[in-house]
Amino acid sequence: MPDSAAAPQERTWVKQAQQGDAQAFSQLYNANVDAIYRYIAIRVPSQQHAEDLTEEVFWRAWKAISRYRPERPFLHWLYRIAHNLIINEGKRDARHQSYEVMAESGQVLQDEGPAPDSELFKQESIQQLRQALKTLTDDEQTLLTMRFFDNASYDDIALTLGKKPGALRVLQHRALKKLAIKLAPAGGLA
Amino acid sequence: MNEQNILESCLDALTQGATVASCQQRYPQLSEEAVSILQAAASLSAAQAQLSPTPEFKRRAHVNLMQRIAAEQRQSMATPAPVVAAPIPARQSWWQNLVAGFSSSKRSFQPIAAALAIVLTLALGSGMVSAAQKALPGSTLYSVKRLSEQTQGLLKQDDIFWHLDLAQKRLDEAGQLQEQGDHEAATAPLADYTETLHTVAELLQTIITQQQDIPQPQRIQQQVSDQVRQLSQLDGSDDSIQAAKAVLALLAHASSSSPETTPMIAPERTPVQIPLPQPTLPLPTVQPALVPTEMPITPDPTALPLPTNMPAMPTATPMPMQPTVPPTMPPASSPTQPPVSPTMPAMPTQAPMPTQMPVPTQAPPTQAPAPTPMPAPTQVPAPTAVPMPTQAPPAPPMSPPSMPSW
Repeated sequence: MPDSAAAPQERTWVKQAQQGDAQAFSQLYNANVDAIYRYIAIRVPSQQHAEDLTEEVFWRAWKAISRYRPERPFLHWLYRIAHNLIINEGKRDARHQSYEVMAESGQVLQDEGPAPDSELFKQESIQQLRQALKTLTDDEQTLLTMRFFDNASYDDIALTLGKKPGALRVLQHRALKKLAIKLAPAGGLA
Repeated sequence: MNEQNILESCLDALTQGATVASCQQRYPQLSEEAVSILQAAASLSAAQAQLSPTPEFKRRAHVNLMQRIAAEQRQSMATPAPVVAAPIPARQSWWQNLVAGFSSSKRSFQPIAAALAIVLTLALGSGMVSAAQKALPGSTLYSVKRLSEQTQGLLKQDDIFWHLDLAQKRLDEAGQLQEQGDHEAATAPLADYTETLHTVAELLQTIITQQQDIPQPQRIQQQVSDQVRQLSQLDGSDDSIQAAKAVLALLAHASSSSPETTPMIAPERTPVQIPLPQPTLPLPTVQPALVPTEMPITPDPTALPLPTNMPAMPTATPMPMQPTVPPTMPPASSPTQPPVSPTMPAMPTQAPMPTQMPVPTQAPPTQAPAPTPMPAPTQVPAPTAVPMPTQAPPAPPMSPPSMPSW
């Protein structure tokens, strides 16, 4: 679980990156790219789009890094950029609708080439989860992915979503309940 | 404890690695609905492990990102902007701020810092700078040494051999410190060595991605191999060795994947065959005129769009690559690229002929590559309008989301 503030090494990189050091930002990229990709990939239906958005998150982070304050984990700041990007993308064009069409037809985060049975099962499970997540609000999706992908604290999630920590427990309960109903026929991944 | 509290407790436990079954075992009174909620949460935790970016994507996105940043930094260096752009902590001393300015290759503060630092270096005198070259981390003169290096670094950011020489210095410092028994102090130069080798790897990766020739690959290989041997004698050098071996692996990969007819790794060449500075970029060509905005630039419409095989980021020295190639090096015998006379100067105003149509990956769709608008004399053609030689297109144009400010 990440600390509620940036780790010392990360602080150093952030400080250097804020002074224009691309190599320091490169370190920040390496340290956070997996988490950001996962955060996005569970919410968009295609691998290509997950990759594009992940790349865009880091570019926007570089452009705005002078505004980051290291009192919070850098990753959660990136989550917030990703959160805004995903929402903005969904609202921006009609592609949001086409995502759902793609999701319905199963064109989701499937790598090139045939997958082995176990891999196929994983992909189907991921797809079911993604479809279930799409029935939740953006805030609910962010809450659950931060909580169960990154083990983020309620305080950090509250900062990302701009909500009070106390309200998040209620929101989480409601979101999980909706998710459980959607996953019930499929049995979930657990 | 009511069921809500139990559920909360179990959800917390799930984030710490517990399973639904273990929760059920501990709290057999859990309702069916609570169990289904826990299973939904467990599904998310399970999915987390299954969603990973491919190494290929991570590498490609990394290169793309560094290229975009480099392009932005080139533009930033060429465009006048307020000095206040670089956030410098107030508690630093004036010379630390200066060093920070040098590190800040992105900010527009940099040209001013560069000019100041050159003045400073002159003011300190070559004697002090020379004496500082032997300084080790922790000594007063070490700051002068690093300042001197960063002054050079401003002009040689894309010079692989400069980075390798820098790495060698860090390696020598680490060795001396360990010889003196100060193993803890040696970790800093070793870490710097690793970082520098990462930079070398990224420069090589960029060259490979752009299908350019790697300058003097045997020389790079020799230098890095020597460094690996030296590193193997040091304690705590595993990361550094890995970084060095990554460079060697890149060289080997480039060498093995290049067809004989068009080798990706160039044979040892005369200096003029090393990619010359991009003449259309507005860096100063006469040292020490490091304030490019004062130079009137006549844009050459024929110079844009640039070829996709864009040379490495130019340096500000008139002949930046000359020191890296011994003049005694025999010219390569290449039927398609006859060696050019070494006396031929780099022509800063002569644009390279595009060898292929650029594929715009960064330019806004409404912006035609040519003809370019004629900028005012103090304006500079924006490098970001130049198509970057990325392998994959970045994310489609998106309207800017609200950016968090915390």
